[in-house]
Amino acid sequence: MGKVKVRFFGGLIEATGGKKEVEVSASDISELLDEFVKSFGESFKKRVLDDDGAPRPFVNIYVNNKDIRFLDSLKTKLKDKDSVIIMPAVGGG
Amino acid sequence: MERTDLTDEDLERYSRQITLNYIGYEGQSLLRDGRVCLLGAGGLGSPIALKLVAMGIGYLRIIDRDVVSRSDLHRQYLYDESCIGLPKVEAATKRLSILNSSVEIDPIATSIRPSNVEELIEGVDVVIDGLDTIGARYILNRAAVKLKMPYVFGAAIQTFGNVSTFIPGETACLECFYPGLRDEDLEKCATVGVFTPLLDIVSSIEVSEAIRILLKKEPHLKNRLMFVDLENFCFDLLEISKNANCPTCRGARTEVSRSLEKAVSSVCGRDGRGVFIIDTRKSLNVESISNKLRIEGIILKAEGKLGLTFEYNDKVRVSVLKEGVVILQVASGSGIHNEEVALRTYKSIAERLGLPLA
Ligand SMILES: [Zn+2]
Repeated sequence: MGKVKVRFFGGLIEATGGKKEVEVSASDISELLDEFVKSFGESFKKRVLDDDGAPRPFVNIYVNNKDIRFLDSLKTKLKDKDSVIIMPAVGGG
Repeated sequence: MERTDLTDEDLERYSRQITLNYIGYEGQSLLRDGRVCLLGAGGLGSPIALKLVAMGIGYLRIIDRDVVSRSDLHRQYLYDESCIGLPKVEAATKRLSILNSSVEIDPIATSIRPSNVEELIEGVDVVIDGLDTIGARYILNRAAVKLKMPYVFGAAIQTFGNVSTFIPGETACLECFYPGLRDEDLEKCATVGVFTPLLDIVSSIEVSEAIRILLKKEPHLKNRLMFVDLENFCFDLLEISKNANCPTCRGARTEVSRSLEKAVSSVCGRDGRGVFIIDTRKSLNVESISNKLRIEGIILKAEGKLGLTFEYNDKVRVSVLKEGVVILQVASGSGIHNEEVALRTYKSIAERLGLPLA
């Protein structure tokens, strides 16, 4: 269990009701997302997660600047002072 | 390859780059011999083209399937008001040739498809990304991996953007860390907007990476994704790596991206109009279309060698590009609200004007 700082970017800021940065306690990414569903409700769930509760493909999550796809995905452990970034893929240009 | 000396004119023109230790005489010679393919000549592509040409690369191939719109001008300052309705690659070539006549510019007015992408990107040292959809980027990514072509990826929307450099065989590819994306799920600049200074930052970093490749220096963004957000003023370097299960890197990719093989697709509207792109995949004779329009009494809005734009009626504006791309810009109230109707409308226009069917 760690108290981590989470930053949101782009369109995902809408999913948090406008919050760009929050501090949360969670032991892994899966638990962190559960916490967000509790605190931000249905709009977060619909925007960020698919029907199975996994992050949608355009949602990227980084722990200490490392993409969780290359760590333990949703089981990536969190410890105190870890920094988490949740941002949408950028497709324009 | 035998390298020729820089000319006296080169020495004067590029003196600030030659005195710059980072480039120098040797570096300027490498740039002069450098060959780059730019895909997309819009928000990112136009500042990329300006910088590469000003700096004196040898050859720039520009591929784009669009015409200049009024709503491009606040950020795509490669173009000006006189370019509206002209194919972007044609307007770009005109401007870039007077900026630096020693650079060979090769404009291609076409859309990027799985069937033409390999031919489009071959024979260069690096490809640089000025595209505006993830679908087109996947097509490019797969070809770049297959042909072992270095690919500088860049994307931008609202106030934030990404840059990364992919060296096939060495680094992650686009689909290692952005797999399975669909354009429908991503924000589009026509609906959420884009900040001009952001495009300059993202395009500058892309150019810096491409220049490093031409200078035979290691790119800075290998296995790193740069993220910039000017609203919140963040610059982050995120770590990515090759994904052992990436089908593109494993060479296991056989299917093509269906959405871009479609004959017609709607893209985000502009200048208050709905926009449909129809890819006939047939070369067109722009001059004879122009003559036909005159005979029919249809007013041309813009006419170039690689394409033209005309008002078919007060609700439908049509642009036709030489390599077979047709763009329909439809006003509200035209009744053209989906791809099927757009295609039907195009059919009747095509029959009247003798254009190829999709
Ligand atoms: Zn890959």
